[in-house]
Amino acid sequence: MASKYTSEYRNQLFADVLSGKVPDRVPEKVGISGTAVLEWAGYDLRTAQYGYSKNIDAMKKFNAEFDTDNVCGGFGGAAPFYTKVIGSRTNVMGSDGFMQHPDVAGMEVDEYDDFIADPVKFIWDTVIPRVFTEFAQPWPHNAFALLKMIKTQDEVMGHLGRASAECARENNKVTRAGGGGISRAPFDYFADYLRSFTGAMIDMKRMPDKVLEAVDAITPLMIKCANDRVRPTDRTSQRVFFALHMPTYMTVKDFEKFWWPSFKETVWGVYDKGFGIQIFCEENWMRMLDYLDELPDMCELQFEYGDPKTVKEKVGKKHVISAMYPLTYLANGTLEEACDKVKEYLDILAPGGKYIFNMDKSVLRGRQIDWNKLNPWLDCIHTYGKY
Amino acid sequence: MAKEFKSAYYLTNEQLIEKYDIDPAAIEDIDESMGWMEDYLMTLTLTKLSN
Repeated sequence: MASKYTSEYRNQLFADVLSGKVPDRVPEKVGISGTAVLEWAGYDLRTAQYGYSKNIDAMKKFNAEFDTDNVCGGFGGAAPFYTKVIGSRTNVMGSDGFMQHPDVAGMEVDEYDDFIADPVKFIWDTVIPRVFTEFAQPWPHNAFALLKMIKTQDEVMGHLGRASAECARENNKVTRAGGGGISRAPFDYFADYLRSFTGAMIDMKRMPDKVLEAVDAITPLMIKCANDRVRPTDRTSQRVFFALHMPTYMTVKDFEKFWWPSFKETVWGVYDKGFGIQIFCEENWMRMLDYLDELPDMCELQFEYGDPKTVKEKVGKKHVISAMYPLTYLANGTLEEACDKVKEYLDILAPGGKYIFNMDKSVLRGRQIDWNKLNPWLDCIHTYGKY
Repeated sequence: MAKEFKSAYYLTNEQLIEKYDIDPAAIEDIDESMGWMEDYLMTLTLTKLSN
């Protein structure tokens, strides 16, 4: 379908909202992942994720059909064409083709001192061969694995990146840059990748000082990995993304001691390089909203659950808010109910700007929502969201 | 204040000059190639290979 909006119009919506101006209408950034787009187009995740042609075909059909502000589809996270060649134990394909993330520990409980002495050396010497089985192979097979991973990814992502840009131009979608890199909260890195969710929580009680030292050692790495080569010139289009994992599993007391200080330091370190900040506060952050006031101005904060009125009141003056619209409204109930809910969220969150419409979570699977509702629902957001 | 990033597996431009016996006058030039690669390898280590 031909959109009534131009790319220039949509670009300006995001430029305005991310610089604190009230845009012409609320921009929308609904997350529909590459896996959902592939399944919508009738492809099987068990095979289609190994190449780019089916992804591009699905992406082109999807974006011609649905009038989202942004291009949807493409690979988002771990893709099997590279996790296979390195023998990843942390990202494995489930029986239905969807990638799963098992709770694997790359570091043992008696290895803190080695890690703290030189984290990067420890990661290469110890963690990587444990977590990625192909890197434990003797020379030259381990070198082949690294080369295959890098070059396969360059090849596939190069095709997908060009196709995504074409989709944006052909369908009047956003063409301005919106990303600038990714980083992580140091404690999340520690838990996700080194000690596992369960190991991290146990160590926090049994050896708190070692955990704090480890998190402190990770902090400069998280600042560095946020696209260290780029010298940003525009915070609204060069933004570093953080997805936050552990806080909602912690008491506020533990969060204050183990999680928040290093995250705050990382965010300020990245911000001081000139980047804008985009944060997905996963799960329910209502207990910790006040801490977000300590971050630099105009972070884009995406929330999953919570009370939109309280979020708007507590963080909506300093930061840009997005998300919280319950995805289930696109799966269950009528279109009218889904649109009524859109209006309810817009009435609360849109006044004064600093709001990007988004759902509480991305659509990951083809069967997850009723696709017949999507275009009229998008039209409701775009029309009712006019300032 | 965060500690400075440092590792035996990350070479600064000065260390690259020394390790590979390169004319020190090339320090700005190697930043565009070998120095870029050091940063690329670190980013790869801390993102794709830390996932």
